[in-house]
Amino acid sequence: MPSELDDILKSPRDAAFSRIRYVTLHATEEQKAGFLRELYLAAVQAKDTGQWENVVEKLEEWEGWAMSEFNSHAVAPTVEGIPWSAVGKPLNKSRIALVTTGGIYVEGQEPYDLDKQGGDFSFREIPKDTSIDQLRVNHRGYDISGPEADMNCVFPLERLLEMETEGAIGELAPIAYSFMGLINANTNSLVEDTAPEVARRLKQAEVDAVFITAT
Amino acid sequence: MMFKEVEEYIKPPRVVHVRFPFGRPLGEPGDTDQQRVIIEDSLEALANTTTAGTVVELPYRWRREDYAAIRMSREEMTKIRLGTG
Repeated sequence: MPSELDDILKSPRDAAFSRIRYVTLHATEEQKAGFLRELYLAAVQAKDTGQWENVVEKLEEWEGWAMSEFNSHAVAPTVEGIPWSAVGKPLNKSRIALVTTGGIYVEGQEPYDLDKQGGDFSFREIPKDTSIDQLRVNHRGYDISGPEADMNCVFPLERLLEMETEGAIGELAPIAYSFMGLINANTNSLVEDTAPEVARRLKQAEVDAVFITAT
Repeated sequence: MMFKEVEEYIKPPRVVHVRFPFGRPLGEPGDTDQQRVIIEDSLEALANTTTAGTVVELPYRWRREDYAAIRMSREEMTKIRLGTG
């Protein structure tokens, strides 16, 4: 019976990208049964007490467990050392660049190739005066309904422009950059080719800091 | 970022971690207060982090926070600090 959880969690469209689906990946049948039991009890209690928060907490607790199980089974590339540059200026004097891995592009640019073997490691330049209505998203690794409804929840162009106007940051750099982060076999091309190219352009634009959003 | 273990092996110099659904790192669509709180906290982490590999975990519980109130109290604090309140 508990293995039916796999189908339950996979079938609802809006659950497809939820962290909770990871419960199905590495849990034993006993653990899946435990998850269902706890969720059922929390739901029954919440129905009587009106405290649905406990159900949310129970789901988050299991999400946390499932993510750590998933990640402990994942094969990770090896990265040596951590690059470091000290911050030299206060924020209200800094030129901040926006970079995302969320698969954002501008209408008219070539969309990311979601069928590319090993993953599309290319990037797009997004000028900061681009109208928010001109921004598009394609990505297969997450639920894109968020940025489709409001780009700022992945690519906070309008928020950073507000902060520039208010003087909270010195300046938003003229060009933002986007990658599409679902890259598997082609991480070498990203690490050796396109990522250094974006870093070079950011350096040329004399940015003081980069705000990177991942999805 | 959204994936704790990915943060651990990619080793960016400064990371702000949120426990938000994938695809919504700055918050819910349309919630400008939530988006601003996350950006402001991230930039504060940028300014305050002195050790490479530091991960700042933000405490926010997705929808279960009053982000407008958080921003309001920050604006009050700024006014007090600047002596304009």
